[in-house]
Amino acid sequence: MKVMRKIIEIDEEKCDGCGQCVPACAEGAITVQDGKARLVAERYCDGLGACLGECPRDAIRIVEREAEDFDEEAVEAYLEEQEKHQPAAAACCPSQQVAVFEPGARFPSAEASGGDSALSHWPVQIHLVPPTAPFLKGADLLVTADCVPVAYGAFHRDFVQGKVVLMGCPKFDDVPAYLQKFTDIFKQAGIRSVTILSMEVPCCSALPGIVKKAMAAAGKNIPVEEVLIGRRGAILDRVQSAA
Amino acid sequence: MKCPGQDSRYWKPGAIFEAKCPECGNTVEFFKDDTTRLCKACGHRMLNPNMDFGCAAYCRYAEQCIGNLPPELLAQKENLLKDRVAIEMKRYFKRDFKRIGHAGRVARYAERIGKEEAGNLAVILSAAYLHDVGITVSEEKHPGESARDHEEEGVPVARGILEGLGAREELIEEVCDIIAHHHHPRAEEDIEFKCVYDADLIANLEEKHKEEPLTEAELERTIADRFYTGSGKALAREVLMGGQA
Repeated sequence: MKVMRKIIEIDEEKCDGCGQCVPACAEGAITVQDGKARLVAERYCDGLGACLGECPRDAIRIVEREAEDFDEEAVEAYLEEQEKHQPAAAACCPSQQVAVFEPGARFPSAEASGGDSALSHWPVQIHLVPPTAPFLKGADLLVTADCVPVAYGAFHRDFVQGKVVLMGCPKFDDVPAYLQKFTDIFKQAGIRSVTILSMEVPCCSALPGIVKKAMAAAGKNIPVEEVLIGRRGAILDRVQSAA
Repeated sequence: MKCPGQDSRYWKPGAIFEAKCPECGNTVEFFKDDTTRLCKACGHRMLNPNMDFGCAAYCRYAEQCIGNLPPELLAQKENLLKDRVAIEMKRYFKRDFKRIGHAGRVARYAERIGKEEAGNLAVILSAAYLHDVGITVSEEKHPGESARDHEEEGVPVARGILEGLGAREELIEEVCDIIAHHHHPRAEEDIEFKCVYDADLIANLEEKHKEEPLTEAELERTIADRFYTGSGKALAREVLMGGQA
């Protein structure tokens, strides 16, 4: 039933789709779609304005208009449904939205965009990839240190093709969290092979250790290839260990 | 070093301007960084019409920053308080959407009634949003007994929220008094209490009516007997019986 009440209004001109309002709304009434924040349904918005303070662009305001009444039962049902179907939905920031790219989905003009990408999925940061991500199922994993793609010129051609990329930095990032993440991935995803790319700098040597430890913790024995990259982009070492 | 905005060497034309006193119409000269000026003709302290007082309207230190707040700013400050009370109420109830929804509806009805009855909306709306905050504590203390004592339990919670927002002591007292007996009216009640009471009654009847519909005669009798204000009765008919208020 429609009633005269307060409800949010999003100014699409001002909204840049940063998604900061999304977690501020406990009802899950806001989502980011096509790069803009949008109200999922009138009945999920209580119009109290908890999201207002989170918008850095001042794109959200409260207006008074005819709208469906706030329906708390519908909110409960909606949130329950969300949690059931999307374990990663709690993290709704666009940078964390899981996506599988269609094969052959390339930039329209390779020249204008700086060349083809062999990447088949999103996200790529180890922190952001849920172990349940569909692209991990039965994948050939490419675990790379953050610096490798910059140092090694033909990164896409030689390594990314046909693989699922996970990247991170063993020096700056949370090592126990990585260990747990890889353990979960190895337990659940049925990974077929792992290629580990690390830099010659000493701090990078932790990366293969993390992956192998996680594999042992998950009780798996998956073929691993370790590739060591020099700071000028040369392949310094290549070691394969069979399953 | 002085803030460049306030350093008159960087001022552009228009930084010193004249405005009309809203009380007597006399011309008062303003520098752009003056918050207020006294009108020499009538003694009225007027606000700089070109200055944005958005921050002062909710800042608890505004008085220290811009001196004694002029009455129009005070009114704005209390008006904004209700929006912040709504958000604090929501934080307090966390994911209890049923309570949040109820408080939101009571506040919506209370605002309509309060406007028509010319009550103090800052008091009415703060009390409407916070009237049931005692329920959480009361349910913890007496599990199974539905919301016993929640009037009394609500007072310290509401006080904490309002103090945190820098509300005036008189406003806190009035709001807490309403919360402390919102289901038990005394013989004499002021208009603020009546507005909140009627609004809560509409929301409660609405919830009851949804579960087990009341007949038109029952609704009409309840509306005639239990409501305090004319606006409350009219709104109750509109919400519960679909009539035009």
